[in-house]
Amino acid sequence: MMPKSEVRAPAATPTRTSRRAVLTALGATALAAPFVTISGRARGADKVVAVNFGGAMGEAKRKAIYDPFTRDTGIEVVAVPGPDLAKIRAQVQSGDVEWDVVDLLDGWVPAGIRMGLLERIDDKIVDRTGCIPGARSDYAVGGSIYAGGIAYPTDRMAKTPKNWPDFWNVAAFAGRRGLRNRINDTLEIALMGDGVAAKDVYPCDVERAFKALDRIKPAVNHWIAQTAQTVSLIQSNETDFTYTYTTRVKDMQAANVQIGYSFEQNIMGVGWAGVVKGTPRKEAAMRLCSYIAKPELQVHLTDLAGDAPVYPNMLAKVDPAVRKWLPDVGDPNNLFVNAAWWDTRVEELTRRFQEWLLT
Amino acid sequence: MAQRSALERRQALHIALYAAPATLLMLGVFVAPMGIVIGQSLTSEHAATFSFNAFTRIASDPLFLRIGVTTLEITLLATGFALLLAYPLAFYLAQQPPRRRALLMVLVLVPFWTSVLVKSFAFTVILGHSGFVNTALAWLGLPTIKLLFNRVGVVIGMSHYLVPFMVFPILSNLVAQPRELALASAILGAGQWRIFCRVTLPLSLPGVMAGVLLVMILSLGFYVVPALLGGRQDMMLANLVDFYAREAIDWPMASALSVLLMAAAAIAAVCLSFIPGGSALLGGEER
Repeated sequence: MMPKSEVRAPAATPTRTSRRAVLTALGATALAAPFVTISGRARGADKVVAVNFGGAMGEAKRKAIYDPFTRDTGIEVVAVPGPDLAKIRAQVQSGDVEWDVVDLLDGWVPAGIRMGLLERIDDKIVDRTGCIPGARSDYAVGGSIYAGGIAYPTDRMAKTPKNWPDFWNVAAFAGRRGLRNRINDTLEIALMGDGVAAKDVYPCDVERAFKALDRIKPAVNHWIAQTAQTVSLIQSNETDFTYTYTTRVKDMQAANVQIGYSFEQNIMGVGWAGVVKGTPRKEAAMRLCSYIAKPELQVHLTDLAGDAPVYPNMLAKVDPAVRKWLPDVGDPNNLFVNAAWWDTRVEELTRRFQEWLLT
Repeated sequence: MAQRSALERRQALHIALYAAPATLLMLGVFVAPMGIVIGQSLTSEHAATFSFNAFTRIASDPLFLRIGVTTLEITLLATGFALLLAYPLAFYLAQQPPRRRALLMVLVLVPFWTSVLVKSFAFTVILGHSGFVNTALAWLGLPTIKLLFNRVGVVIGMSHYLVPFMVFPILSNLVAQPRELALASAILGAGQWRIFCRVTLPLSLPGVMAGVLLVMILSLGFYVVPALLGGRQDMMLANLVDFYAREAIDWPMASALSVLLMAAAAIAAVCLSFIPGGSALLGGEER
């Protein structure tokens, strides 16, 4: 390929070599990069990655759970936002597990067990004596209990509904309603609005629920996409009665917004934590789970964040100012979300609900 | 020449070597994942076997067709509205001296730097039931109009995000047009409006088509803004992709819906290439 001319050769050779050298160097870098990152991951046995939903609860967990853990064991807790069941599945399937302890929504626990994404909780390390049965799973640890119910403005409506039959009674309790734009919780709410007692909600009579939803549909002016809107829409006078969570209303009242909450017929759920299957830091993860399950630490978390501990005998130790925001777990009119019932039905019911919303 | 000379072969080899790192990157980061998604749409949910199951389920439930139609409607509306807003904006920017234009471009880009939840609250303050617009209307004795949490709100919210994408291609086209053309037309007796209709606008069509395609492809994938600012009739297909990928964990279904969205975007590109000015979109010569 080189010109035969001897005069030109010395000038041509350095250019060709240097260009080739650059490309070779780039290729070598590209090959070396994976080895650089792999050796980085092999280190870090003295840390554990905890994934939570962030926000005020995430900060509360840092203070109440992660810091005591690091103090006692010396293992650093790296908090990462954005728990996502799909991401857990992708990590487990590819064999490249980066997350150790992940906060899980109620519906993710049966799904995670079914797909083989969670490690069995080691009862020798994690002590859960005294926790309510609904917050104990073989593959996840109950970290807190949250509650959802009716929120209403306190400054502009004469009559506000405090339970679901009242919410459904548009004639007596005039006002615009806001429900979530998903079928989870909405199905249970519809049954309670139709007069079903909390203990009879599961297994859900889906036809009855959809008939009840048909009746309330004209009065619902918002099918709310994000939780933050469930209180902000009341505040900005876009709607009147919504389904929201205790902590949202508590924070709004702390900011002097005129909003109230009803503790009647609440839907409660558990804030779970699970260990991702195949994590290289399994023992450290189990130890962190044991701290998540510690009653005294859960009480401290409650004081900071406002969700209840899973140990009913610890309620007396909670700060009185926060205790009035905790749901009554023993109240027969409150119900716990039945994640097992939903696990096999969520896809079909979601499609049916979306179709119902469009008509 | 039928045969390439040694020199041309060497040059071709050097070009290939230079392009190799970028090509490998694109293959690994773009083509391979797309192939995996397409392959995933053709597997069954529980085993790794070939199956049309996902597409059959989509075809058998009218919900997907209805939401697909809504997605197209909203995409076309948002694209049209963004074009209406962006063209005059780009025209004005093209006339500015370069430094002032750069400053004004920063203002055009500001919508990118706000979070979508914050934007939703801000729009509620302006367009909501008790917002600026409706309060002003009530003060003037006029009836209030519902500008938010319906199709109007969705189009306004999406355009707010899409206008910068539409402005850039049109602006770069307008700026590249030689000033002498407008001067020559004026010398020949054309008024401002005529210059615009007969010279500037036709020449800017390739930029317009590029902007329209870009905005359409982006709109097809929107779902957060319509969920926050729309009503119950404003459900987008991407909403379902998110549901199947992250909640139902049914990846074949999510992949199948994504493949349909990709096909819609490809069809849009082909259709646009038939409009004057659009042939550049598929790599053809400009006009």
